[in-house]
Amino acid sequence: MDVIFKMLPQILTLLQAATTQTNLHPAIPKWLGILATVLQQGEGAISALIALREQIETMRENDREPTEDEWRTLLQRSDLAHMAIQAEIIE
Amino acid sequence: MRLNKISLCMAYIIMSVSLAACSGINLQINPFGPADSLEQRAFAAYGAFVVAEEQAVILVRDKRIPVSVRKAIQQADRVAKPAADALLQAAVIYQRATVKSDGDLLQAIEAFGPKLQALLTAIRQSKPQAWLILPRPAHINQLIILIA
Repeated sequence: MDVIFKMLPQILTLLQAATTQTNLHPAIPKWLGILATVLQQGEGAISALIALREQIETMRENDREPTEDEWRTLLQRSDLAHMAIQAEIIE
Repeated sequence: MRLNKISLCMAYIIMSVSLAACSGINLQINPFGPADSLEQRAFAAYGAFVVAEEQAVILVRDKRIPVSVRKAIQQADRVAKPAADALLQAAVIYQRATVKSDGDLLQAIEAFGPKLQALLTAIRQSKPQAWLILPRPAHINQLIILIA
């Protein structure tokens, strides 16, 4: 499923190109293009969420709880992101 | 005429596959789904927050997004971060304890849920299509219901 998910933007782009050549309603290739762009833009978040979900699935399968190292890694990522967000001067 | 029928069939197939893929994606990347124990749920909530924050870094730097929306994301993160860290602290204390008492960790998850929701809502305002990617309100509700 993850592989399909990661390939979906490319598949949608190909479908968009293919449908442009047909006499389908113009809205169809347009929406395929929009969907492909959305998925490409969110690729970082998608990969991160999939990784998190897999990490939790592994914990459940092995009947274990998150380790302090795993918590620490998340905390470090959060601290970095939080500092970057708050350092941004928005005007 | 025949071509039109083929085109219609093709359009139907494409739309069906796209819709099926989208609904699958939502289920696939809900991080709270596989979490079973209280600690795993706390970890899923904090992890989803980290992913949202990492997306927020990109969004607050994007000058194409209105200032008010970027400020709302920054404010939501400012409010959510202390609650997230309180949750992490409660989880670590819980993990180290020999005699487990759920109260503090449950309270920390409950306090954090709405703040995580507010951050995700602020992100969705900058990118309405983010509903496809980030956990949806129903996912957060699922987390809260699971612990209730």
